[in-house]
Amino acid sequence: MKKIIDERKDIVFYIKVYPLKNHPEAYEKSKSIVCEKSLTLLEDAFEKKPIPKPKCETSAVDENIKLAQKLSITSVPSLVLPDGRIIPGYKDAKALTTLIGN
Amino acid sequence: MNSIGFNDQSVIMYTLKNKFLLSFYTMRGPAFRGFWKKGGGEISWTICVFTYGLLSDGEATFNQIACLKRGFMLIKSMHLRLLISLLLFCLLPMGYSYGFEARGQECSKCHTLNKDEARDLLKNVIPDVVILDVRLSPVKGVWEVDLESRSRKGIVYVDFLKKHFFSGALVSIGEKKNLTQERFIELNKVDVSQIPVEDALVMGDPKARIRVIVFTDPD
Repeated sequence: MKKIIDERKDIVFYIKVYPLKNHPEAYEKSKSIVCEKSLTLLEDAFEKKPIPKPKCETSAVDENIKLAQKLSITSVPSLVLPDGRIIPGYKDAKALTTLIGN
Repeated sequence: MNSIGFNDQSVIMYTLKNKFLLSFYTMRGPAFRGFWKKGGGEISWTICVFTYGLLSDGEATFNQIACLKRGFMLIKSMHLRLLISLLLFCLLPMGYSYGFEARGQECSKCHTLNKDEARDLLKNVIPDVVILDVRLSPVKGVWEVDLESRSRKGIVYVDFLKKHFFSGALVSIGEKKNLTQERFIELNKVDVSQIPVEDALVMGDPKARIRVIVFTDPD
């Protein structure tokens, strides 16, 4: 995604954290990330670095879970394109740019 | 007499009543003429070779060298004609029955499956099934059925005999594409404006034209 926004200034990613049930620690981590609204923290989580406890109370993560279930999003990462298509699974930059189009 | 010129006038076709003439002459060397004739109880064709030259006023002269005539008599007996027609008529369906694959789109004319029938077929196996659409699948002899069951949309395939259905990925070998997934993505399109992004982390320029929403797990 970083590669894409470097190349394509007309694309922006809105990242919503959606902890899956089979990742028990992900819920707390998601809350911390949402509280801080920090991409760095998300990257730290990807790299398995320790994530501090959430510093706020937020319902955003629960709402994301509800929304994702409503939209039948069952796997991560899942992308929602501007035309409404939901693309499941990891894709490399090239495949992703092709999907997003112009 | 009608004449149709081809190719810088080297081939000329004439049609007369019951007679058809094809003339072909090279710039140097011989000319050929063919006649096709129907009438008098026979169909015949003749090919003749000519030498030709141009006169000073532009007219061509032709000297016939040799002709070859071939043809056949038309069947006069009504009984025999009737018998042959009958034989052809009987053989026709044989060709069709072996041509199932080649008939392609024609399948939708002799095989039908509407939404109600699809629901009746599937209601005892798929809970609370609602049929959204039915169409021919890219695989011959199979219907592609879009459905919703307990607020989840999906795709199943039903065979023409209506005895079996299956779900799973249909992949085009040539295109290396998961056709089922493509249909599934189309089917599950959402209204992007219904997804709040206030809480989302922003990567890139928030004013950018194309907004892609990503759901991801931190683990």
